[in-house]
Amino acid sequence: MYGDLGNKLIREAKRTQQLMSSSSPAQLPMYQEEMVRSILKEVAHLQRNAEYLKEQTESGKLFKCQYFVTMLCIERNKRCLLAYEKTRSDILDSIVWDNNGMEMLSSMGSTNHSSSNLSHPEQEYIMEYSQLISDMKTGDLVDIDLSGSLSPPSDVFIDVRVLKDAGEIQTEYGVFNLIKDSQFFVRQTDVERLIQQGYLQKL
Amino acid sequence: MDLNIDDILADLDRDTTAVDSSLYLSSEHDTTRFSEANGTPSNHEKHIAVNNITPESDYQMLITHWRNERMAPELLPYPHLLIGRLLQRLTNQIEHIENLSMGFLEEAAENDAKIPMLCMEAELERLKFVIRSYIRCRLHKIDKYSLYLRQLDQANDRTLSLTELLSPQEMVYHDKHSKILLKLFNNSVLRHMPPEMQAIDDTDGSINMIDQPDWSKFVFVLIKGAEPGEEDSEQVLNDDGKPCYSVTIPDLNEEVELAVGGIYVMRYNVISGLLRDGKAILV
Repeated sequence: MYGDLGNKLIREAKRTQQLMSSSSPAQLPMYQEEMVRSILKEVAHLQRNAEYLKEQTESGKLFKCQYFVTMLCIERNKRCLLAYEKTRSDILDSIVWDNNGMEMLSSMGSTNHSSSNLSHPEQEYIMEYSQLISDMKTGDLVDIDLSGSLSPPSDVFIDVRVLKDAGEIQTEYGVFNLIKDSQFFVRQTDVERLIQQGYLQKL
Repeated sequence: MDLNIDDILADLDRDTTAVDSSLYLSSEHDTTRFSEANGTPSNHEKHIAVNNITPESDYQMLITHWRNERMAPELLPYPHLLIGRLLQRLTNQIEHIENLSMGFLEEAAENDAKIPMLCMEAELERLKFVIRSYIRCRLHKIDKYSLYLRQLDQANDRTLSLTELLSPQEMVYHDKHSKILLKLFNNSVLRHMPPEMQAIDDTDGSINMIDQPDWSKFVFVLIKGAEPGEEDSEQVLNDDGKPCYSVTIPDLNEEVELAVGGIYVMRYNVISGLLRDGKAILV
């Protein structure tokens, strides 16, 4: 029946949501291009039906009813498609907030593994959204790093261990030589970004 | 017979602070010594707190705003003045710390205490965290209710305009984000729909596409009462002689007494009035 494909798409969206809530490294599943295209085909088909029925509506109640049901089917498909799209865009938003607000903004391709899984409009969207976020951060709120950690700062100094070899990387507050498996006792605020990027592990 | 002389004593207390403030005008140095010598610095501070806005009271207000924002289902009005003051102080404090640390480097004194610097930095981090969390929470709500906010903006019969509700940056964010989101939907879905179905904020269909805040959400609320010394016309005494507020739950048509100092689980729309007047806070 009409709308079954939409149902399938919604199940896919549900699965995406579950995946995202279970594992922290956000890897967005493939965009279901095939399914979306066939739903859109169904919509086009329904639309042709609707146009035909609309011409016939003067000639009786039966056609009016058919027209109404056709429109309902289109609406249902629209709801499914939008819900799927919105689920994905919400996840994209959170990815932008988590990763791309960091210094690595320019090299977005490398941080975002799933960029090949996105549809073309979505790639455009993620670019524009990260642009918007960086604009937000350069406004009045420049002293507050909006994409910074959302867990409250409790310790002034922490122990960190280097997970990945990165050479000399830190520049803003002085230089660290990040050698794999070395340990530092540093101020939390200095290394917060490095922890978010995955170079360091908090102990 | 006992004579209650509390009011006379209070009068005398006020007199000393009056001396304080007059001295304050003539010479700052003297005042501090005066108040320290008499052991009444707290009194002096209190006097200032009534007249001016102190950093402490601002911080308390920020915490209240933050808590309310995190618990309330709707977007609350943006405290423009408060955030402006806090940001100003934040910038000043950052500069101050930088200057101090420069000073340390130049003097290179051996026995300089590190504790004050550490405290100042940690405090700064905490304040920054609260503001960051507050703003991120608001942005999340703006995303969630963007269509609803848009609709509010278009309807003219509102007491609260969008400029009061949102800060300038949030306005920009709201505008731009809904624009690029709409572009995404247009490109991938809406373009292929029949013309009468292309609206994103359709309210006549089988389901309303505009998400409204859940007005009847249950929240935990602490009844704080009016500021001490202020008379409150809404406040009534209950049977035990304790001050309380009387509110009505509309769907049940039931009156409830909310005693000052009590914590209740209440529907949001019932207590939103008290919340706006600052007589209740969400916990």
